Amino acid sequence: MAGSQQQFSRETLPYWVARLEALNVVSRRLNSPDLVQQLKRSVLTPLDTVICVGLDTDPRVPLQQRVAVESAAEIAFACRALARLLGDALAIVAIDSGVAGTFARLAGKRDRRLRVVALENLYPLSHPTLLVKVLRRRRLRPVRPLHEAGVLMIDAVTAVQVASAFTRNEASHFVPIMVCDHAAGTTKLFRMPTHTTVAEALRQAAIGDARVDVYDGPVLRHLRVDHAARVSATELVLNVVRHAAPVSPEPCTRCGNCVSVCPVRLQPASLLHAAQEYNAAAADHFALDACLSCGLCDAVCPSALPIVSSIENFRRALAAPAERTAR
Amino acid sequence: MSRGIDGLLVATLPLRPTRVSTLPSWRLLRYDLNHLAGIVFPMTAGAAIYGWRAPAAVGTLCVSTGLAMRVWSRVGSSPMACSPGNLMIQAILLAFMLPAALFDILAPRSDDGSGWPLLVAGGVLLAFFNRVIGALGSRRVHPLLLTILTLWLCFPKLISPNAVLHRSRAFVGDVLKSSPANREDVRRPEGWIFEAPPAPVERDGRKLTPAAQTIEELTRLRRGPRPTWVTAESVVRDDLPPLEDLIVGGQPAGLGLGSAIAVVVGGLFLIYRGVLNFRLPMAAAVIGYATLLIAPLPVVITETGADFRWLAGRDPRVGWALAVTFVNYAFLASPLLFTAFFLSSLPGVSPVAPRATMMFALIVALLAVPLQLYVSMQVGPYLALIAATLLTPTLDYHLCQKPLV
Repeated sequence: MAGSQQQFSRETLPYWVARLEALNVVSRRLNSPDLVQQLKRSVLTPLDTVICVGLDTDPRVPLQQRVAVESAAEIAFACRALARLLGDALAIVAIDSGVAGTFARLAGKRDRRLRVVALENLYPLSHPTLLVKVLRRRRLRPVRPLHEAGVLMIDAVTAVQVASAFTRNEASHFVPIMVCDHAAGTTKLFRMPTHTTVAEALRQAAIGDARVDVYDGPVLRHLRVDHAARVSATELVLNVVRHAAPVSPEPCTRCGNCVSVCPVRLQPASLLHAAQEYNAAAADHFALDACLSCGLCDAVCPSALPIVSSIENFRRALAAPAERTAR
Repeated sequence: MSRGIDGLLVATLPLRPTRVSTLPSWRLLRYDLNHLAGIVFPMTAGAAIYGWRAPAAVGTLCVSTGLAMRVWSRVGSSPMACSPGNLMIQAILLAFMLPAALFDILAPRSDDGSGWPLLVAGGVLLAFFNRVIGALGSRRVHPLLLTILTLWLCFPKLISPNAVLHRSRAFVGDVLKSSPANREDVRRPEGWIFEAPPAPVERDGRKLTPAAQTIEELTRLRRGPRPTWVTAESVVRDDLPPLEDLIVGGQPAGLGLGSAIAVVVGGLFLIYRGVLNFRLPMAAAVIGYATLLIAPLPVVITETGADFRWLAGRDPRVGWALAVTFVNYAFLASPLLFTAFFLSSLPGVSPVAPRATMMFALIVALLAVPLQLYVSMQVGPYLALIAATLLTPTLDYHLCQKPLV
């Protein structure tokens, strides 16, 4: 694999992009946006870093971690290749500190342009905004595209697909899907055909009960999906929880718990207040657009307030007039 | 970033490490239970120092608050102002500020009037303010602080504590069966030896002048030069009780404020359980103590007036040893520690931003000291907290922390 690195250069970028497009290497996950679009964008905006995310949004569902260790050589190859395509960029593999040593041994010989960075996999560290901050000390608002920080980001699963496309000119028709049943406390990993449905994945995991809620990605972000939805192009992790009794929210007591857990140091209570009063100026003052929507404030709020959903709704409401004006 | 073992780069996290469960489990009940657990310490000390009437007073206030809230919740259509657990915490804290002797049911009728209706009225007022002011945290003044302020303005004499149990009658004694401590010492046959008369055996406690009142009389110049000049030294030496009475318990005070050590332990428990940020009580206590050292004190009161001195320890008539002793008394006799640990940790009182919290503590401490020295030892810190609470939203707005991204 290492010998074929010679053919990757900035001049050959259109050829490799066309190959990825032809093989339909699709990834539209939070920490692995559409790779083809990212590469095309790099022509206009030079990118100096390739970040491969071997971290998982929920540490209890270590899909990316397992894929990274199982396919360390392929991931290292893909990262080096992408770095060369961007014009000798720096490649960084961010991986959980527990398996970083194993990954480094399996990844092959050391390379000045490939760094393996061991991180403690704490939620929501795998979020692109936080990874860019931790790895490159650059600020990237959650709503902004990654190229603004000069970064191309893929996850371990995409890196394996890229390696397969670059070396064997083959598309992978199977994706790893991990189903975490929170009620039973079990986690199962499958390789399923692309465009598989949530219901099929649940059947494969022997979860036949229809009275479950399925979350696409981290539970705290409340991204509920329908059983008929297809998971291949979005998240690869399905969190299954039983229907919970609805919790009636209490008034905000300004206890400050949300402030103490916010990973980007916002004041969610103040943002909620701004959202309730539809006060755009206050929301801007408290940095509404820096919110990751990670849901930690929701989780710790003793009053069970729907902070994230309120912030998201307010964000959408503020964006709507701007979109109308643009049209 | 630093270089770790095996040639790997180990990133140092600029983020706050978060080990929160990804399933919501931290809920209101758990939060309130943690708060209640911290309250157990001063509650136990209160029961020991003021007997069975202390928990009875707390119970009365809780029941009246709960019933009043049930009635108030049927008035109008606005939603519940706060959770029942939070309301009970407020009721218990309100009871802590009132003397145990207010629960005077099953007691001989006194000339001062009955106290128990005040407990009921306190509960009704607390529920009323919770209802009228609006949802907790949505307005600038906390209902609990408004309630105690109203009670103090309307019934200052009734809410002044004046009795404490004998050590031998801890927990089981009746604080209303107290005899006035006889200030007239008994002369022994030897002629020049005086001793205090023994307390009547049938009595459970003693009626005393609280240390807070003694200090307040000095700083508010209520002690005239009769028969001789009054000096700070003479007050500390002759009129104030042993400091241990304030630290461990043995002085008349609100039923939760009698033991400073219990208040501190309860506050530390709140910090340990994450209910309270340690910065707030620490800053309030340290700044309050330092301000007390600096604040002008009457070094001597003569016929012509009082001689106030800033930083009284520098004055040769006082000296640092006496000044520090006086400050210790003023610090422990007032509810400043209780305010810092329990009231400022109440939801809706302090700001949420860390920098704003420190500024809030500074304001509370700086206001509390003059208010307690020159207005009222009993409610000075509460008044300071009310004033600081008015600034809470402003502090939160202007001192909000810069986002990481």
